[in-house]
Amino acid sequence: MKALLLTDLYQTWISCKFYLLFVAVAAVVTVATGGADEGNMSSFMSVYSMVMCSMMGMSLMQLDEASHWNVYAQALPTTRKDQVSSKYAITLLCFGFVLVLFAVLFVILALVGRMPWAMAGVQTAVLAVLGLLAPAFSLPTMFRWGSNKGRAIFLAVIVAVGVAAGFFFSTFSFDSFSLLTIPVPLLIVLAALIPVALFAGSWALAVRWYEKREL
Amino acid sequence: MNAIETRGLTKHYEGFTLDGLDLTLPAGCIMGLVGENGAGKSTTIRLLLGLTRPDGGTASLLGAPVGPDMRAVKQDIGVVLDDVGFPAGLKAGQIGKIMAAAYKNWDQGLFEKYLRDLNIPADKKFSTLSRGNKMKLGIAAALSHDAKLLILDEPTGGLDPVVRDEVVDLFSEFTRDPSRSILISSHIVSDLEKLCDYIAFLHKGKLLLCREKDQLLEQYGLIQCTREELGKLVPGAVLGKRETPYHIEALVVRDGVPAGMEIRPVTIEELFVLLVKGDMQ
Repeated sequence: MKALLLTDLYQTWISCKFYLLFVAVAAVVTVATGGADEGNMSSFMSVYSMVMCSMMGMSLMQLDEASHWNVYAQALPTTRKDQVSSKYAITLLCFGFVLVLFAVLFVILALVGRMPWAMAGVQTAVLAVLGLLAPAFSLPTMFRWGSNKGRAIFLAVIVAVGVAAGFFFSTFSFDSFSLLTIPVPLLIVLAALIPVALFAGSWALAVRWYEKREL
Repeated sequence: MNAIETRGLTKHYEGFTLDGLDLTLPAGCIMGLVGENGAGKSTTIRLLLGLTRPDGGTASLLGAPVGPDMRAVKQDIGVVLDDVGFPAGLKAGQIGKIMAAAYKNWDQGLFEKYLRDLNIPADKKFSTLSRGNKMKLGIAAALSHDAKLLILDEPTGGLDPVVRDEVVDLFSEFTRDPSRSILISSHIVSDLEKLCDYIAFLHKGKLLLCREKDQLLEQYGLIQCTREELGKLVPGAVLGKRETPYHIEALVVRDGVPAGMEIRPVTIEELFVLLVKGDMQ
């Protein structure tokens, strides 16, 4: 497991550096434009950053498949469960990094009065849901049928979450959140619990499916 | 204890069946797996490493059954696959660190020595190395953790004759310790002839024969004769033949050839080619 994690960390740094660069630019744009334009630009930047980073596990697996490392790694003293766990761990690491970064930025924007607290909470919740749901659905598919099909599922989930979010925000205004009797932090926790459970279940399914796959 | 043992190992793919493979590689020996493309050499190696599941039969490595969790036994196994399979963007130093994290007995000093001795560029990404250097890096990694068994799929493919010779010497050196064994598949039968104690011939998923190399070379020979002379030999003495406009060259069992008929020693390559031709006829 340690060897596979090390490989994935090397690969993340070598092949996916531009993701980090993009996130850094997105963070700057979010601070610069936060609160303006009803927060559209900061929403776009944070969501796009999360989409890119939640694809990390899949991108790494695609690299593994291209070089046949996924096969060679099974000749090392590792198990398929280790291989799956490593990709989930990297996905979680990237997810956590983007979520914490933008949550902190939203809190700062709310503190200086450039973004309503409700909006900061909802945007953080959307990031949490999106960042966990998309890989939760796509990673098991990828481990069962390969990275190309996993990527197709990933994009389908992103579109579905995007459409659902669009419908939600066109139906409810941010003002309506202030009418909610549930405190915003509790709303965030509740919104995040379901994706967390799905992500954990997804790991178990991915292990099961990958153990059955012919390499 | 046998280093490798398979009993009735079977795997079906569309258009191909590895058919009830029985192989035994005693500890301390080198076995060469010979076969044409698609004969089942890589399938056998994949089955042994647990990369694919058998449809029937059993296999064990160093006494441990092949199954889903082979972490303990794989500590003692070095592997070189046909396409090596290191991540494209990594350099030799990073690959060494990954191997050090994977193997308890990883010897970084020995790995670096192999990099120097085999002239493997340490500062280049794996994807930019030549096929030969990729293979050499795979061999260096397989030899640097005190493995008891090497499983090598076409490890000399893509190497020039001089380096191939060096690599064959490395494998010979590896088996000086009598507890160490090698299973090696190769198209370059001359390498196997130099190296192996046992030769296993695979043809269309079936094991044609598996014997000690010296026994094979003693038991079989080549004759050149006419069609009439060939017809006079006892049935079963001729295992395969090739005809030229001038004569017939036949692979024969030495005991089945009458005294006085000149029998030439056979090479492993000739033995394999004529066995396969005999099977096709």
